[in-house]
Amino acid sequence: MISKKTVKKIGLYITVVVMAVYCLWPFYFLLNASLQPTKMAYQSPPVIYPKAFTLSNYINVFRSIPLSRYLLNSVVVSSFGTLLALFAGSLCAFAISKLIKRNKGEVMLDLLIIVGFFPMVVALFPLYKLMRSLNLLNNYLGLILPYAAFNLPLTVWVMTTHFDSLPSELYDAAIVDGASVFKIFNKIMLPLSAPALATVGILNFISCWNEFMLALTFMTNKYMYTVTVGLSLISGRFTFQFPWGEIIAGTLIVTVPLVIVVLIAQEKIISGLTAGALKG
Amino acid sequence: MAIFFVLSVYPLLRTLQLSLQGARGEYTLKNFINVFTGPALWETSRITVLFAVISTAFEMVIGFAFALVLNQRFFGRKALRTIFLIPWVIPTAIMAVGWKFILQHSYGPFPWLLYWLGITKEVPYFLIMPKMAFISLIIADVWKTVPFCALLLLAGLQMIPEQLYEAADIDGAGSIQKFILITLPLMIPTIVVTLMFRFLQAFGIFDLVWVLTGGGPGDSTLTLSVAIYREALRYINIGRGSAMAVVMAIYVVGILTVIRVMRKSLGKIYEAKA
Repeated sequence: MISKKTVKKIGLYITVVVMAVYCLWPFYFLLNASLQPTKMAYQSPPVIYPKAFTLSNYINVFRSIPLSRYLLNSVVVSSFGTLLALFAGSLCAFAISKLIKRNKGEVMLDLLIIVGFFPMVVALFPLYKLMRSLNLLNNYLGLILPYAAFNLPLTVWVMTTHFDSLPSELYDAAIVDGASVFKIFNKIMLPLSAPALATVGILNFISCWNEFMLALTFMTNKYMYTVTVGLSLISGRFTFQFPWGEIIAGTLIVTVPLVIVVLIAQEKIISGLTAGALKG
Repeated sequence: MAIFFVLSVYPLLRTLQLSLQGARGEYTLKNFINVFTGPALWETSRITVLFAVISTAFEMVIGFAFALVLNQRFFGRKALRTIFLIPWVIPTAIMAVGWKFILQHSYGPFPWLLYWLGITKEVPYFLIMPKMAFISLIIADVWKTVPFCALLLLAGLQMIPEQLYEAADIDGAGSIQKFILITLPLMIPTIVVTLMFRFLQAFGIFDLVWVLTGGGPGDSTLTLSVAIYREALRYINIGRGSAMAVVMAIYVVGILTVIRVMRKSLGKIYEAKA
């Protein structure tokens, strides 16, 4: 007889496998389609197992669209957007946590968070006009600034909770020693915050990288597209012979860096996500 | 802080102002009257709410089930948690391109799988029939965010003190009893927060719809965000678009208030019990 415990265990592992399959099955089909010669992607019914093998899609996609340029654009706007958000956000959080009166700081924080809940589209058109009048359309700054702004609520939130957890004696002692506020921030607070900064930084980077609406609106020159816009707009450009194999290869190429980030930093991401969401 | 106000608070107020202006810059309520009397706003509102409610409901139920499993001890738990982050981390717009392929009628694998497995009698059309396009959006959204919900709920599960379960074991409680009497009540705060996050996100959905269905076929999957975007930036009906945006902002404020009240009254119930 198999014991009840073994049955339970087997049941658990079956569920686990089901859950893993749930997350991964679309990738199987995408990978499969991207590794087959183009004409096989057009068979009906589709070939859903690896029948032939070629890497040509992965090479051709760089030729048919400026994918490397898109990648560069995404890297630039996401990294600078993240850095700016971290810089402004931690200054802000430092002020809220240590410098101004408690209730005033809380009002500011509440305001930030509430604004953060509004769908972006609500503010989109005025923002577009603003960027146009500042001549920032098709300019990296045109995305970096709003990305920093839209990531500010989360950054300030996480950093404020972090600064709150640092003992205020540290701050008081430094004041007694005659350190200026900026010196305290630079020399004491920031070094102690590296882990928290890294966590928010990763989350910010991912959200910038994945952003679609602003990039679609502000970047109209096709050499300034970010990867999300570049790849999703291809769909409109071909009417016949839609190059599915290449497009899918492109989507997978874009996915790889993110998966690597997840593999390296999964603990940080999970802790950041839950801290950001659950304490709210 | 200053940048933040210029780039997010100012545009919000400016939207309000634009919604009150007519074609020559004069102040008027015409935009709102137009928007309120036409059928379009109510139809997109209905679609948006329907989408948000259905997808959030699925996500919460499946996510909760997954979270319960992830809360067990088993070999490979960490690996599974990592796998769970993958759907979340992939750009929605990119994944929408992938779904577009997977759901294609003639050469996409998913409709054929349904047919081969005998779930549907013929190969279903996903993106070109109004109802099916709506279902496609839900499938794609649920797929992407179930893992995210599961991880948030898991964090809540892990905050429940182990001693409660041990005490229940001593009292001879079964696992279903333990779930209803301990897990569920203690999870309510986490559930409410996750619900709020997901609902507001689903409510404002743009990229998935824009790429996967474009609001079509017809306007059958036109959500509020897409409608506003199209109105203001493609058709350049700024007044109309802004008026719709203001309506959307009011919805969001409404949702936030409801959630606030809910959380407050929940807190009171807890205090009364304790």
